[in-house]
Amino acid sequence: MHSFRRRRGQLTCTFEEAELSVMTSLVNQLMELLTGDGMPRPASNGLGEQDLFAELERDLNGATTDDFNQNPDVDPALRRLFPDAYQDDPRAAAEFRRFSQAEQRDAKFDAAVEMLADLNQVGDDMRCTVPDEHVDAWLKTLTAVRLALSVRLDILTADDIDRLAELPENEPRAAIFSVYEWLGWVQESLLDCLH
Amino acid sequence: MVFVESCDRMGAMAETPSQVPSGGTAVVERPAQEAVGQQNWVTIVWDDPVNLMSYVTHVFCTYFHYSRDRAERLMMQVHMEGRAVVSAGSRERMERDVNAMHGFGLWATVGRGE
Repeated sequence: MHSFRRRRGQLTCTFEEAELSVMTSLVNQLMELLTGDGMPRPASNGLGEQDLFAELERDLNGATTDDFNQNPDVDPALRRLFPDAYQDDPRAAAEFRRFSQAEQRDAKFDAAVEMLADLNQVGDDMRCTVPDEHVDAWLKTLTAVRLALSVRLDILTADDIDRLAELPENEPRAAIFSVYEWLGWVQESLLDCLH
Repeated sequence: MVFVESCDRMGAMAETPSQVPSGGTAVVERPAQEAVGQQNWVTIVWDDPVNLMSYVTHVFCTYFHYSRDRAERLMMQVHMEGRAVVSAGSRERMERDVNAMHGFGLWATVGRGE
């Protein structure tokens, strides 16, 4: 891949065919993650009757459990994409989640849609043009994909990254890690063009 | 501090908490604390091994409109000390900032000021 640069005022990069298909697939997977079964329907918008009763019950019981963090059906990658806003106050964290998560989820989804639109514009010359107004969506979506991959790769500390870098090439995780590193390189190259 | 208007969707909610039933509960629970320490909240960004240093700096520049110098110093503080306070103000504002940080993919929490 040729890194991002400004060409006649426009941000462009050139992909290899395989790179474009990996990138497109990862953005699609992110969108599935954001809209899939593992993503609970936040109760803040368009309350269904059942949700309303569930919420009332929660309030009456004064429950402090946060379904999102306790529910085993929630993909750990989603927990990384939607972290707690309060560190030592589960109730405040749950409350914050209740009124912000639907909008946050939609914003992440919309950013992925914007990036996907640019990827889908790539023609036979494999050149990808990113309009300036899409840069924010690209940076956020690349970050979200890397965060999701980091959960799959069990990256919690910088040492984990060093360990992954030493994996033999035939390890399946080594391939995922190289994609993770490559996405970071793409993001860095995009950021380099902004200053 | 100058805040980006387009990041303001939650901010608009925070300005009028009475119109946000689900978000208002936490506020109602702490009327005394809110009245006394209205400015006494902070946004903390935590170190994580995933986000690029250049991206974290970019976020601090574009969202908070901090100078590049200040944004880089805060980024380095996050990196070296594991966390940094990146903004301070009312609880509503800090919730707005934390929500924006989460939107960028940064790990941020609302905390009590010193």
